[in-house]
Amino acid sequence: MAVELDTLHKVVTPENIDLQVECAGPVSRCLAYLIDLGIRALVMLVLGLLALFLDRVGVGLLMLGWFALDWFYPVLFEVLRDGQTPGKRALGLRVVHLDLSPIRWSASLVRNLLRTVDFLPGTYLLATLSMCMTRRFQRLGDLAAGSLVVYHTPLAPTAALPEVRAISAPLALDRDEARALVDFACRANTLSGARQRELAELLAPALPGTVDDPVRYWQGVGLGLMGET
Amino acid sequence: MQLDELAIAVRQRSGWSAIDLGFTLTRLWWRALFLSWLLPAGLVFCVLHVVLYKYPQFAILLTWWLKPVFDRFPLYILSRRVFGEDTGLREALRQWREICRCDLLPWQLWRRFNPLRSFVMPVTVLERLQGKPRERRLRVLQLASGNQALWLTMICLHLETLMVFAAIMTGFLLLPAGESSQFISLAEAAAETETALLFNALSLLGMALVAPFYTAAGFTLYLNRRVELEGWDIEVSFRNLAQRLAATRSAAALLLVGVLAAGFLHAPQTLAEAPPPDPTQASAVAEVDAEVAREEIDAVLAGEAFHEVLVTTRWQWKHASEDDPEGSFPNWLILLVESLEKVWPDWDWPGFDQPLALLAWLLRFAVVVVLLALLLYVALRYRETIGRWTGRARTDAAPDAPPERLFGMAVTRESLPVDVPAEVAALWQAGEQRAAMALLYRGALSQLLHRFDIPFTHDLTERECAELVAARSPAPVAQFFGQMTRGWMRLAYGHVAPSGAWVDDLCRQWRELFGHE
Repeated sequence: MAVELDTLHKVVTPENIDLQVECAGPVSRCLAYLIDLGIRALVMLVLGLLALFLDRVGVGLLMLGWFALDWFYPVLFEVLRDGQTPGKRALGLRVVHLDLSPIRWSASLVRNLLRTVDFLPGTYLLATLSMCMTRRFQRLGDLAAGSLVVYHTPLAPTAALPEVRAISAPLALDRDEARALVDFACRANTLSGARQRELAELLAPALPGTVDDPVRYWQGVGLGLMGET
Repeated sequence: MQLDELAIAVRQRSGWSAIDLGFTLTRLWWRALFLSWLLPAGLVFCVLHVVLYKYPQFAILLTWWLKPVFDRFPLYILSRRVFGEDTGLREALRQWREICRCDLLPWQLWRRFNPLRSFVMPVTVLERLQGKPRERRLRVLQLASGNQALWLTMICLHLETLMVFAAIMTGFLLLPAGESSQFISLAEAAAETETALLFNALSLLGMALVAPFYTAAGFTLYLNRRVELEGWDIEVSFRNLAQRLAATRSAAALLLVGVLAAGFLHAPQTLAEAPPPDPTQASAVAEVDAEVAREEIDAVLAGEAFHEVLVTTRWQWKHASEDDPEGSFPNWLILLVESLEKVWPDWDWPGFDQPLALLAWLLRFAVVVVLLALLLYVALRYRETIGRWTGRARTDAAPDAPPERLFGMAVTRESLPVDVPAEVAALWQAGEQRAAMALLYRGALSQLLHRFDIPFTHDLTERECAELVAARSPAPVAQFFGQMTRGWMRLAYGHVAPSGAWVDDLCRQWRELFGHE
């Protein structure tokens, strides 16, 4: 079979541990940027209102505030808050180095200073093109800094498990197969009954002869693999 | 539908990630998708401009209005290629009648402004569902991914307009300074036919650039929802498992025949030389006759591997001769030597009648003294380090002292916050699920160690700990700890988080069981 197409970025550490992350593409990143833009606009609005009372000093302070906000808002958040600006946090995104280590000052500065280039010719068009054309959805700043935006979603809570007795696996399973059986048990409530029977039917050759309900049997095996008792 | 031919990796992903997959597909199959959109659209665009040459604005408006038709071409190619068919541009264009036939009018009239267009189009265009079944299908699909589909449309819509804007901006940027007024007058002339034509061409290009991405992202979002609802990932894994089993079954049968044949042809003792069966072939092992297996085991046990004789040599003190000479030496020296002799009976003591020998002995004595002094100095100098060693050794040896760490987590009372449930709740609220559960589990271990005197040791696993607690503490505590252990193991090793209500319940139980200090 040909290589399956996916959005994963895989890294093998020197300890021979496989790490993989899902790279984040233009749509979610665009939304994250818009959220950040909104937050910055709000802050600028408040600063502007305050500056009204300060005459020309106020204008100066406003300019300084704008400068700081424009250049350092993403950098500070990315380095100090685990690679997440508020917008990225809302969308479950995170900036990391290409080797998946947390983003540091130099890379974050480079990728954010290069926004001036990515912004050209006025609407982040270069960034969008670059993201659509590179394998890991990197914009020019990311390419220069060796950084990457990935999904970082918190663990989803377990769905309610089916009321079945756990059974120890009747045969040796590799990781993918065990994973599929666990999924089969965990998704008992989202898959339709007919579909579950269809899936269980696929495993008929491995079914011991004495079982009368294959669906419940394989759910039980899934629970057993999860360490339920 | 052949799921084993799928070109994309099926696994559960978020809606956003599914959209990204669509972008990846478009990048890889760019030429076919882009041209399959642009060629029909370009044709219609040209025809419309010829027909409506007086009203170019209507020509572009109509082209824009017909976008759902053009989107069907990339969708056709995508839907074939994702399932492993090698469908190209040529074939898609040849099939135009078939592609455009189904459900054309609704998409041009009342569904033209459907904000989820690319996400729901596959339902009618590919599945050909109509009426009630279509509505039911849409409801289920939109339940989880409608939000992402809506944002996808919003972003792509703006991207399209921004493309045109960006093209104009580029022209503006490339003008020499001071010439911008001319540019503005140029823009004002947009109403005139030539500039309008340029603007229309730019718009068409913008649409053609964005449309394949939009269509593909909507399609993968739709696929992702079906993967989720119908368990495609499970099906692919189950199919592979069944295939593997079928392969091992036939291999096992062959192996069995081979073993039996070997048994007939050779004497039984040669069975030990037969290659051991592959441990992954579980079913093969199960089917081998118990009698044959026992013979094999006996043969292996009788073999050389279990009867190896090892000869080792090492150095040992031998007994010194007993005769010790006496001479005219001070009494204390003799006493000293005698006492030393008691300590080291094997020392090569000198004859005291020879002055040189005495000198040598004294030298040797001095060396020993210096060495002792050195040892003493080292002991004093590094007494803290040594104390720590021996101190640790003592706690290890003492069976009564409770361990300070279990599973790499500190379980002393001092290492824990005063109000564990409150801290756990705070961590949980902050989204630190792992930290919250770790603290709760650690706290429970600590309480059980110090209040219920459960003799946990380093070598126990989580489940053994739970069994120990079940055997040695009242039922509610045991029940609580069993529940806690299951949840913790599932999170720690299975990366599956418990629900908030479950944690609340545990915290409440904690207060009931351990709350009264």
